[in-house]
Amino acid sequence: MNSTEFSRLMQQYQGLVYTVCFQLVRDPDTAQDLAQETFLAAWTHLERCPPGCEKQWLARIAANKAKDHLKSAYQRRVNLPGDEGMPELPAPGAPPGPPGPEDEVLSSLGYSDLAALVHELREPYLKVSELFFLQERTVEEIALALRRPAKTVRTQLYRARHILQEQIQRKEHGNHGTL
Amino acid sequence: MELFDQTSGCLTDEGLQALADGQLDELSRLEAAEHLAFCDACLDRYTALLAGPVIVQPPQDLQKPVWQRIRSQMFRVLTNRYATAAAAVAIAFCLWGSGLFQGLVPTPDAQLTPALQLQQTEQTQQTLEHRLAFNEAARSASRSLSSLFDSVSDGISKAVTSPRLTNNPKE
Repeated sequence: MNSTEFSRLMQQYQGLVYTVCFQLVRDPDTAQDLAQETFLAAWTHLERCPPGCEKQWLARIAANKAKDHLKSAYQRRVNLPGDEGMPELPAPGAPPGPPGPEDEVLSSLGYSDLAALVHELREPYLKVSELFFLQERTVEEIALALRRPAKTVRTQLYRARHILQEQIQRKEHGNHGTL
Repeated sequence: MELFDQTSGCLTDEGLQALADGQLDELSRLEAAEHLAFCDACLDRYTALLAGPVIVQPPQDLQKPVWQRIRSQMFRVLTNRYATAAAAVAIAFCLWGSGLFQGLVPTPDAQLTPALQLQQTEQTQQTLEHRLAFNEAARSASRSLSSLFDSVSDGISKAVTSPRLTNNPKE
């Protein structure tokens, strides 16, 4: 694809790319920046575009750009002191995380209690948690079984662990409250 | 509203519609983006929703800023490549010309007769002259390379900043 054809592609799909970015980040300025970055990445990796699938290919790049933005925004917010949001995500390539107080709480539960908590989770955390916490499969095995990238599985496990921890704390507070 | 189907793990139709309608919170949008980044089936369903009046045009046309960023990226790549190559050649010439590598050439350390000493002195004189000539050639080559690099950089700079070479059909 030469520069003229790429210009035509940009003209045809800039609305689609901007819409995907805007629907995911809900901010016009950020969406404008992410749409630019999407086309810049598309130009850099033009050879990877499957012929005839330009629309899906561009939408995927846009979704990836929006995902990266949302993820880093979440991390920034979480790192602020006093914020009770999501925990900081593990570094890329890192295992789900070293054993910490959360793991001690989880491992102190019996299998049936842990299974009951895991089965209360919603997707996209239910299946990864079943495979990891109950069947003790590795991240790579889970990624293969669920056809999800290993990095995404790690992120989902990290959040699932945090949700489980919150559920346990809620139940403990509930029990203390009834005593 | 369920964003994901508990059985398939894919985005539900109502979840995709909620995304399009702007009804999802930040975490749900992050989860949806993560899923769309790898699931072909959901991406196809999502892009099928994006047609007609749903499509929002960006506040500013993307062509100009994107081409500007592409050109500056290409300029950086080209100048880095030429600069690295020219610097490597110039350093190699300078080091060779300075005689740094002369020590690597083995010299005979046998006892010399007066005749041989005289012959070696003549050879040393010749070697010195050769080295001076070589140094001059190396400096000249280095200057040529430097001016070549400058002219190439100027050429690239002009080409990149020239409005005639812009790829934007609107310009």
